[in-house]
Amino acid sequence: MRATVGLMLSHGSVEPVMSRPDYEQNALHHSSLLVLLRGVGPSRARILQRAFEKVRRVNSIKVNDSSGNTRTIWVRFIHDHPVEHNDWGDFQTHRRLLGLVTIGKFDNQTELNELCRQHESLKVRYGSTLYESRAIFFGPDDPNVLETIGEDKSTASRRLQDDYTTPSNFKSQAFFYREQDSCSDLESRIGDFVSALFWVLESRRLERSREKADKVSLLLAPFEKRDFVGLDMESRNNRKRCVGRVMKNLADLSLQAGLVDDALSLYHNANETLRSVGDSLWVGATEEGLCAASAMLLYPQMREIETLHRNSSLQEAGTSPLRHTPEKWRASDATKKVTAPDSTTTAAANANGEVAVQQQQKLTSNSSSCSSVSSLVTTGNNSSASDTPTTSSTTTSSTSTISAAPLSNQRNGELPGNILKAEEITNYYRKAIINYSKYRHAATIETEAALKASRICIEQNRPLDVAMFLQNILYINLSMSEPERVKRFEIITDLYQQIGYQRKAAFFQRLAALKHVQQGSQAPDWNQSYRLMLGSFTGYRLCLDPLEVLENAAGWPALQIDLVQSLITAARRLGHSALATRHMTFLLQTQWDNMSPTEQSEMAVQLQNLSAQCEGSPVPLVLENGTVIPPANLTDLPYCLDFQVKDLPPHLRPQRIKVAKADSGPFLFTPIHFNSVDRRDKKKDKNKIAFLWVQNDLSEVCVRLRNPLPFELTVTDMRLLTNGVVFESLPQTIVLQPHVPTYVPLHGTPIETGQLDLQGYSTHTLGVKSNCRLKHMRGRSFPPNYLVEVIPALPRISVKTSLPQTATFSNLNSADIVVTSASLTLYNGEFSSCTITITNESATLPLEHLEVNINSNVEQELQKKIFRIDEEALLAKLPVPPQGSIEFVVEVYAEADFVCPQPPPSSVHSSGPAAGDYGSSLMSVSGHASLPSRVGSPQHRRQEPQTSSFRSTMSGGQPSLAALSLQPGPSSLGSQYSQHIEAQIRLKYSGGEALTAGYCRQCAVSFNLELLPSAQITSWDVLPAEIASQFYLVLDISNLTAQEMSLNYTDNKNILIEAKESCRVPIPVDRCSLEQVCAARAAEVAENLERELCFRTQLLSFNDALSKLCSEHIAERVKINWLLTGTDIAGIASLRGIVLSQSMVDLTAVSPLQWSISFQDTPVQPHSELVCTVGQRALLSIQLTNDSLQPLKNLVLSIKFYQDYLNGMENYNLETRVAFSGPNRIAIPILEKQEQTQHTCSVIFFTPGRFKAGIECSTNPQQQQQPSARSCPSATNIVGGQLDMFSSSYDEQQAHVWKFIPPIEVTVVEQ
Amino acid sequence: MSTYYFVIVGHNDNPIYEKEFSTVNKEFRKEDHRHLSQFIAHAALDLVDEHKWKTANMQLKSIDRFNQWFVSAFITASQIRFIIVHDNKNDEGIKSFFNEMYDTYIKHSMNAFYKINTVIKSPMFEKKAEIFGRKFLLS
Repeated sequence: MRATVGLMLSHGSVEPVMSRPDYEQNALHHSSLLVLLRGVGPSRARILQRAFEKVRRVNSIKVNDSSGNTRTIWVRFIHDHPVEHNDWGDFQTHRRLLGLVTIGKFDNQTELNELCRQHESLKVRYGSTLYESRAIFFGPDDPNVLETIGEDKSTASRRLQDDYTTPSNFKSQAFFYREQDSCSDLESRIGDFVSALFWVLESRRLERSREKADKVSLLLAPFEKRDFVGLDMESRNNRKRCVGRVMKNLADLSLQAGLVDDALSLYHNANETLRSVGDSLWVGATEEGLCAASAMLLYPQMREIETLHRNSSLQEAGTSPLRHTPEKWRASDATKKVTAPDSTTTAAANANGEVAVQQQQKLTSNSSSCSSVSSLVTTGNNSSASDTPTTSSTTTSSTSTISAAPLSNQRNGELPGNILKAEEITNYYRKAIINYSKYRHAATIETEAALKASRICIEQNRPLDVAMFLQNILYINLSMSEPERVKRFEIITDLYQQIGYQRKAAFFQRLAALKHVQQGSQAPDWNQSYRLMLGSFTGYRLCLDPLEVLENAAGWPALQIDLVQSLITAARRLGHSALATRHMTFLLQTQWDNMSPTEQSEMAVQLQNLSAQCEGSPVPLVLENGTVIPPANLTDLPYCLDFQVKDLPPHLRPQRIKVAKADSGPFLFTPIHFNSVDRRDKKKDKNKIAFLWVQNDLSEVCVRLRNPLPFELTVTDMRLLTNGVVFESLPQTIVLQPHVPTYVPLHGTPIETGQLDLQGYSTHTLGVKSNCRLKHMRGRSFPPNYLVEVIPALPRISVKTSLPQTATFSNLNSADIVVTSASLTLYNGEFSSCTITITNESATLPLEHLEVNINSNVEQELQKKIFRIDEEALLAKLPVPPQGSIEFVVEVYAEADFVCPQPPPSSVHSSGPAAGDYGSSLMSVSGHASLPSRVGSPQHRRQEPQTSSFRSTMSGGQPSLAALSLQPGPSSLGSQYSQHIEAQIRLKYSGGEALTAGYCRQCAVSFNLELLPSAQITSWDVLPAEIASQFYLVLDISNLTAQEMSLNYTDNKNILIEAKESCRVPIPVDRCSLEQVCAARAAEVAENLERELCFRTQLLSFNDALSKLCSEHIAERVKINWLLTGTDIAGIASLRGIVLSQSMVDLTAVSPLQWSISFQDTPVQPHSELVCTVGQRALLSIQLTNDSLQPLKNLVLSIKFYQDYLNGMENYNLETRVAFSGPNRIAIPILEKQEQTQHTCSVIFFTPGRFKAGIECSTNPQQQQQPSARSCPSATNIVGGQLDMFSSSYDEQQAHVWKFIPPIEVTVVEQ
Repeated sequence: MSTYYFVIVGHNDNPIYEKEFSTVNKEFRKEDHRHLSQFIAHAALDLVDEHKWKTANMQLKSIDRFNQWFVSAFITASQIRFIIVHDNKNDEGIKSFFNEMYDTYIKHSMNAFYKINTVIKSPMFEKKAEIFGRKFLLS
């Protein structure tokens, strides 16, 4: 500010009257000698800064006066002094300029002459008051003597003066120095100069003091001259006035000459004298003088601060002095009040000490007197002690007690009793100001007095008084130029800041700033305005860092907005668009919540306009004065609602390669333990992301943004901000619609492995680049960052299949890892294959590890039958080089259940044999009208004789079509309908470093297999074959395809079936051998023994096992090859899963009973013709052997003759034609293992013809009357098999019937 | 013709309630006026904070002025500052107004849903302020 003053003063040097207050003045300046210190010559004066400082440092000297007393003489160096201020020298002598020091630099004689001329002209200008002057000249360095300067200064300086001579008209004393000279004697020379001034002053004082009271002339303030024209100067009043004024003048001189005590009493006297004549102006002056003299004794430290202050401001001339003003003794906060004085006093004392030390070195020690004075005042002035805590500088006194104690005692005696007490000073100033205020022309004096008063009050720690005096300044009607007015505001600001009234200070600082640029101003100074605005930030609880502002959330938003807007205007007018943009960003960022939506959008538009000139970026800006404007980021524009770190796509997600657990000894790790470890980990690192990212793989973070502005917001160059491993962010540009939350994916690639620290994102919107860090986003529960682990790069593969893709993806588990798909349609029983090509897409990494497994929606067993992969061949092809590819084949077989499942027992049996009825009931049960109803078809009729014996599902008497069960059975592989099998061929692969780290990737091929029904076995039965070692498996096979099917059912038998038709085929099958049965039985027993199950279960499972055995036996032997004629679609239908009833099992398996029958003593061969004659006895001998493993109980052997009419009718009523001798039913209670029994009977035929004999052995047919008696085995007979069917199919009560097949045919001939 | 600018200032120098009372018609009032009043009120806070420790009284009377504007203040027990910037003397009216507003403020702060030091948005409070303003300041 001082620099500014200097600038202004040098500009307007022609001021008419003293209208320019000296704002820097304080009370102690009343005692100083005013010396003008000027740099002359070209503007190189700045080089001489050191010399200036040296001169300024000599601010006081000690002089021994004629009577031997030591006096302290103070000097005040000023830079500029309006000549007319000298006119007030009579009124207050310290306003007179007494000395002149010029400092100049020259390089040649001409320049030296110019310096001398300037010095002389200054001398002339202030000639009326000047006592003495000095010139300090710095000449060019003499290169020859450069090194000798240090040793022999005198020769150097002499030489300089020898080389250059001052002009003849230059009468002043001059000192010559080399430019690099240390000027060590400068201070003593200035000291001499000051003492010279003192002696002149002292002579003036003595002159004045010796003047006779009646001879004195009237001293006048400049504006008074007219007032006293024509007045009687000899009047009593005027005499008194003259005397009083002279006395006051003498007091001023005494004060300057270091005679404070004298001055005090003189002031008191003058005050009384003048008051009596009502000379208000001069009364005011005496009162001010009193204050000054008292303050000089009470607050000597004020001078030190002044010195310190000046020095610091000089050193940093460019910066705002306000910033360097020491924070005054108190803060506005009351709590600090208690402690503040102590610490600050210490600081001040230290500062004092520092200066004092310097002075002690330069001058004979006088600083101790300063400190001692202050301590002494405290003791002597008990009443004021509490009010003036700053004066009780205990630290200072403690450092100087020993040396200063006698001195202070001495001074104590000298301390005038008429000194003003601390609180009186304020009053006196108030009075003085009131007195001055009576004179319009004394406005400047009044202003200065108020400032001096407030400075004293600051010293006294009376902020309210300071405020009062400062308040008053505003109401002093002083005609002044605008810059002066601004200056006044700045001074007020400064003083308010000193007492810690930041808000008041800010108010005036802002006023000053506005005044600088107010309308109508000739040269608006935006620079100053900007500086001041920035300075007032603290007062409005703002600071430059937006983060801090948001953190504090204090202050008055409306005012803050206004201030920042003014600041933006200033910055814009300055042409500093970077600053304007920065401040606008700051405003939007910090005051967003305090603005209305319209304001928000207005500001946003403004920012856009500003940033069009200069783009904002998140770097600190440094002002010319060194102020750093920290970056402002628009973290909430757009507003981030959500920040989600995304996992890699499922098929690229790294997984741990599962290794077979190494034997870890006896220490087991339970899963529970495992989990708890995991949990602990999670707690430890909340922001740790659970999944992994892969080096060199594009990764994603999804951000949900909302545009709070009412217009479209374009965000360009949006990138992720990361720390840790190197990460390459991809820029993203988006346009956000107003108020619509939008998901924005941000991508990037980690280049290294390790931990990646995601901190947020950067944006470029409204022309401003911002770094939006999560930790700065307020009001949302974001962690400060996210940590993602990046693992080494993994290879990537692409998969192709030889099959067409499916339209729909499967809904199997983890369908998300599917990368491609294949679809295949097969008829049941068909074979096909699929070639899968794997290409390693990564540019550098080989594919070293590959695992294939299949997952499907069918059971594992079945799946194994359907899909087959040669894994070994596949593994042999590894590794796959980068960009290479391999192929492998998946064999597919359309495995299906060709056998119609057994209908539920509740089906059709209630319905009668009528075909129509059956058909309808079928419809009602199954509801599948689409299936062809073959009921009543000619083909069916033709087969009817045969079907009568069908027992696949029910009694033989029922029409076999009932077995055409078309239920959409719940079992999965009903083959009537097309069936979908979904499978995933999962590929786990890895390579490179990641493999060693134990990571792999998994992808899958979705395999959609559609199985179409081909052939189906709708019903079946087992018939005895012509030879005992075989039986006939009779199958109803329907062609469910839409094409004609050629069926190959034995080695050489083919049959064609029309589409949707069925036909019946007999297939001779070898019987299931008894060894197998025995083996099965043994296995069963062994197993059951192991399980220690009860007998009942054993028996049950034996039957089951037998049935299963037979079923497998059939399935193994019978393969039905089908071919769709006209195509090459062929397949095999297996009979796996065929269910056999007990009676079928009996036929299928080799009978446990070995028949050996002889007729007429001739063993009966199958299909052999037996002939006998009517009326002759024929001997029928039956021998039974039990070949099975267990005894057979309750056997009934029955022999029945019948006549077969070959039309489906059998006649058993042969009482008139055949007669037995001996029973035809023989009960055999038990037939042990390997036991034989023989039965022989005789038969007599009465009529000729063809007879058949049905010989069978059944278990316990007598008990058929008690079917419900479950404890009794063999409760039912065959005919009542219905019952059997309804109850559980195979249990121990099952009746067995073993027939001798084929039936014996006897041809009876006439005799 | 007189104008009053009443503001309640929270602990962080944040205004929590603002209201203007004026006998002048709205059309004639300058837009800038309120802004200036805000600045004056803010600048006066330093003096309010100084005065509040010097007196046991809640009424701080007229403590500051700038040009033709006076600043009167009132301090509550919880250090909430009531400030009126006015351009004519009306000590009694202001005193009564402050007392009534204090009463109203206390009642409002009793509301469990009101957080101390936040902006007052109650229509009831607004109405009361309106009534007292008319009664004590403008009459």
